[in-house]
Parts: sequence; C-alpha cells; structure tokens
Amino acid sequence: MEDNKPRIIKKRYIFMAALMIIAGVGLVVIPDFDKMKEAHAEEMLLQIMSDEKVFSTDEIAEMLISGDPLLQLIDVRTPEEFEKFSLPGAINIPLADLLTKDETGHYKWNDALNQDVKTTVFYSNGDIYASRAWSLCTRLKFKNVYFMNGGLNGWFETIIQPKAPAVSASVEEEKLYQFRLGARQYFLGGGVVETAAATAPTSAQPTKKAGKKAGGGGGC
Amino acid sequence: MGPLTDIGVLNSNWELLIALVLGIGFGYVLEAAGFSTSRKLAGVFYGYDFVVWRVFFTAALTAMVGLMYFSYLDWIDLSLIYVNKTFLGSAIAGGVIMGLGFIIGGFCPGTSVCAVAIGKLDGLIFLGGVFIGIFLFGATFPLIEEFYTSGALGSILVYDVLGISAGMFVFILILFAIVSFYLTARIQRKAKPVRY
Repeated sequence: MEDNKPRIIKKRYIFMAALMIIAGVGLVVIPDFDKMKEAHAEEMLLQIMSDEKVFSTDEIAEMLISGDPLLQLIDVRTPEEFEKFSLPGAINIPLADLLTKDETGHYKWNDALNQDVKTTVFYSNGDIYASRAWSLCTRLKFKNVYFMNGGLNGWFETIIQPKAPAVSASVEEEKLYQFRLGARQYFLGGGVVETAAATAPTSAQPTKKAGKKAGGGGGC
Repeated sequence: MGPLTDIGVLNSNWELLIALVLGIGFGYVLEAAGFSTSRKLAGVFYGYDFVVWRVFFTAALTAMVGLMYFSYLDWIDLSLIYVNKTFLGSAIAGGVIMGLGFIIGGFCPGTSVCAVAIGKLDGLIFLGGVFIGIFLFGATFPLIEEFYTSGALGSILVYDVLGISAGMFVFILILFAIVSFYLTARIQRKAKPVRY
C-alpha cells in the first residue's frame, strides 16, 4: 500500500545526520582540551632561557621612581609578609591564590593578570615563587608578565644596601652605584638606615593602596 | 583567539552593532522558516509540525559543535564566555509559564516580534501581552525576589554535573537529536495535516 506522503528519511537527512555524528565522534576522541590552551613546552623553554622575562631590581627602582603608570607589581608572598613590607603600589596575590576561580568559574585575578596594557612584575623574597607565578601565567598565555630578578633579597642587597664599587671599577659601575644611592634615599624617605630595612616606612601606604585594588578585582 | 571584544580586537561598543546585525539575520531566518505563523509553532504540541523542534535543536547543536572545535583550535577561549547562572526555582516556574504561553498563544517572544513585523494581528496582541507581563514582573519584583533567586546553583554546566567530558555530552546530544528527529517525523506522518 503506497501513500503519497513524503518519505520520512530522505537522503540529505542521512547525509546531515552522518556529518553531525562524525563531528560528535571527533569531539569525543580528540585529546584533552585544556592542554591546548597552554603554551607548548618548546615555546616555554625559549622564554625561560631568554632574559626577557625578568626585570632587574634597578629597573624596577627606576620605574617606581619615575612613577611608570603601566607598572603593576604583584607580591606573591603571604598576606602576613605583605603586611610587614611591600614595594610601593604592589598588589598582594599569594601564589596559592593565583589560580583561584570565582563563582562564575573565571580566574579571580584574570582582569589584573590577563591583559596587555600593564607590565605585570611578580616578586617574592627570592626568585622561586615569583618565577613560578611567572611560569603559571605564561602557560596560560597571559601577556606582559615578568618577575623581579633576585626578589626582595636582591632588592635589599642592591637598592637598600648597595655595596660601593671597588676602586678599579668602571664608570658604569660607579654610575650604577650613584643611582642606587639615590634610589635608596627615595625609598627610605631620606633617612639613613643602616640595617633592618625590612621595617622601611614605605610599608604603610602601599598596603592601603593594594587593599583597595584587591577589593575591586583589579580591573583596568 | 576570541571572544573578539574580550581580547580587545574589537571595542566593546561594537557589541551592540554586531547584535543588531545578528538580530536582523535571526529575524529573517525565523520568518523564512515560517516561524511567524502561530499554527506552525503550536504544531509541536499537537504533533502535526515539528519544524520548530528541528530548527532550534539543530541550531543549538551547530553552535555547540562549532564552539567546541573553535576551542580546540584555540580560536576561542571558552573560559571567557559568560555562562548564565542557574536559579532552579525560577527556571522551572519560568519554563512552565513560557510553555503555557507557547501553547496558548502560538508564539515564543522572538517569533511574536517576527509576526508583528509582517503585520499579523495575533502577533501584535501576543506582544502586548509580553509587555504587560514585563511590566507586572517589574512592578511585583520585590514580592517575588526571594523565589526568583531560590535554588541558586551558580554557573553550572550539564556535563560538569553529569561528570562527563564536554565532547561526550555533545556526542550524546547529537544522537538524541537524530533519534528525536526520526521519531517526531513518524508522529508528524501519522497526524492529520493542517493547512496554513
């Protein structure tokens, strides 16, 4: 018994359905998605081997003194350490919090870290934590991320308590020493502090500033 | 890598213009597919026309598969895409109201605007009802606010809840769609045809 209603299954339906099934199977069998978002190992090695990822303490001091508006210092130490001392204008994002996600599933610090306007410079006491923060952000392909070479220990050795160059030192070394002495004056507020610079008077103001920034999620 | 406005390729002011262009295209396709006819839309519930089901399900699947492959090719960052938050109470109540309105009126909000655009009176009345509803909702919002935000689950995704990968979820949905297309076509074949 033949009726004149159209057939249910037309050839083009089968074709479209097959196309969709193939696309669906493809999604099931292709490897993990998340890995694709990260930088490739070779790419990372290249960046690790280059000096482009670091700023020296002198460069940071110069940027701070000149009031570079694009500099965004991120202190990856614990909040307690940050309270005691931090560089002027730094934001405190403890390393453990770096990849924390908010309730919408986005990285909490995405606005501050994943942008291409400001120069983000991580620092910690030494190099280790800051460089880890740097490599995490690099793997996430965040742009303009760096870390401060030598960390705060290096900061104290070079900026706060610079060693006088030897008598046989070059003009450049002498110039650098003069710059550091000037920078020390700037960061210590003019007073001469021989030791225990960890209680530098600059700590109060930047902490307040940082608190405000952290609350706003660091948008720009 | 997208979304274009989030990564700064396009200024976010472009979003409105892009929305306008997409909206005009969407309206055109709705009208071209016959969605400005309330009988065709109501056909889903009476079993004589499942075009609405097929079109919207296909659109959703196409978008899903497209986004997944774009993400795989690193053309789009899915973590930057906004996911609406789920409020279970209001989602269920809203679904029931929307469904009832769909059966009774023969339109969903978008298609009613399409119907108005080609001068249909039932579409105009439906749209009037939509605006009365919006006004009532706004005026009574303080009374229903607690219910409105009840059952908050955050930005959850079905495949996360089920504990399967996104790709697997899309694949299952594709199979489900194809089976449903076949079954609804059989139902439609048996139903008495309606002329409109």
